[in-house]
Amino acid sequence: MRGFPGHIDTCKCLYLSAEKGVQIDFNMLDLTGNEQNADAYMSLSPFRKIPCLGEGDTVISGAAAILPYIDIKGAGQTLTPRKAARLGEQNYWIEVGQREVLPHINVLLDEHVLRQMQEPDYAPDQGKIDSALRAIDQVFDVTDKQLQDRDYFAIDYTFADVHWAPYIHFCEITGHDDLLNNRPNLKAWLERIKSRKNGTQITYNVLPSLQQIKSKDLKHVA
Amino acid sequence: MTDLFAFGRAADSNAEGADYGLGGDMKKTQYVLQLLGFPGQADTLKCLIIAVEMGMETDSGVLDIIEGQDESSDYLEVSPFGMVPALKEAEYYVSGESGIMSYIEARGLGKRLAPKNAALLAEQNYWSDIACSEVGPHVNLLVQERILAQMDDSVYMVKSDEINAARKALAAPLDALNDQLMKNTFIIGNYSFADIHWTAYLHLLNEAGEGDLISERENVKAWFDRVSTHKSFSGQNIVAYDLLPKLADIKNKQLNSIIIDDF
Repeated sequence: MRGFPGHIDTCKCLYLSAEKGVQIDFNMLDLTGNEQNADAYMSLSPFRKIPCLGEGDTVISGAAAILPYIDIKGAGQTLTPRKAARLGEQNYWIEVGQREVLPHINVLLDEHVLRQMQEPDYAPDQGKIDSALRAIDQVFDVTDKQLQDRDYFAIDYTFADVHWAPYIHFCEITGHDDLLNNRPNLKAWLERIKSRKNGTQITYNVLPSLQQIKSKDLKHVA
Repeated sequence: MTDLFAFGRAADSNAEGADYGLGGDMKKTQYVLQLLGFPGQADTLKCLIIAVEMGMETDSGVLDIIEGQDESSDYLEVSPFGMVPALKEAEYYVSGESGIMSYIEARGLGKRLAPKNAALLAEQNYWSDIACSEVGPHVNLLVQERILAQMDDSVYMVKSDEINAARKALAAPLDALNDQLMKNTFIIGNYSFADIHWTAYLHLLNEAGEGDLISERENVKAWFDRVSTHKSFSGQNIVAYDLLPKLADIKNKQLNSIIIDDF
């Protein structure tokens, strides 16, 4: 897999591969060096979808395609719910995350981490950060209600949780874990996510730390 | 509060099956879906197509997004983030194309649309993703400029620069689709979710007067002709494309309901 540790969709794939016990060898795609625009990468992913996964002759790009591929290739039963209502809920919360949360987490990542990796003197734009935090705050209110009487977004553990785990992780490592304050259900959900294991391995630990992002270090999943 | 789903058979207490679902059971042989959307919006069209493909009767209601009804407190009660369209079945609500399409597909008749093979499933999702991210925004702009803006303001002057930029941006994904369809009847071989996403966008492109972008690509045109006559995936004698809103329907804010009479 080619991806970048400070890229949320890369982390979704990384996290799911740990959950499903799929061995992944990573190759760095340095987004701070715009490697996604190089001809070599565009020959694999013509529309610059990130990350990109290769297995044998199969090459696929973008989290939307890679996640179900890993799910089927991995151990255990599929994460896709069988019941229509649960499936609808799973996909609703994936879409909410992608539309209402992901763009704002990307602002936090850019302002706190990635821009400074490109320009060491860059001063974060507090206006952008505050605006992103306000938007996330509103979504988390609804999210907290959703998680009121259930362990996971669609009751059982599903792709919705795989999408949301990196969102919350990046809130935490950019110094905004206070977004979970006064949201007991979201906090409890995160604790459940953080305690999930595949064998003896805590799967959440595969997500990159701030230091790993800065040093452009992606873990292989064994 | 206004019940935005007070339309169709669900609003008629004398209609056959009006008490459906009150017992909490949702059986595949006993259903009426209610879809609240807008005829000029691609996500609404995707949900109509999948409902036909899966043989699901659907009463359609119009949510007037030109008048900002999607931002009303009544609608936000149903869809807290304002995602359009919204679907109701008995006491179950879901909004946004992704949740609705998967719900209808799982509730539908016959075999499942999503491939079971990992590589095919990934390919389906890749092409769906390309449609949503590389085609959707530009088609939405063209529909807005060519149709919706003039519905809101009869003397609206189209922004030619933006139209040209959107047309130019559509060239790469349409060329890629043309290559993909060189050897395939449908986008990944068999009919899948990917075809539904692309059908909705290309239909609106056509209705917005930009059909040359389709006709000038031989394989895309042939595929478009095939999906335009594709009979229900679940075996009913009904063609989804026939129920999609034409330009006049969009201007009149009309959405067709889906009646299935051959089970």
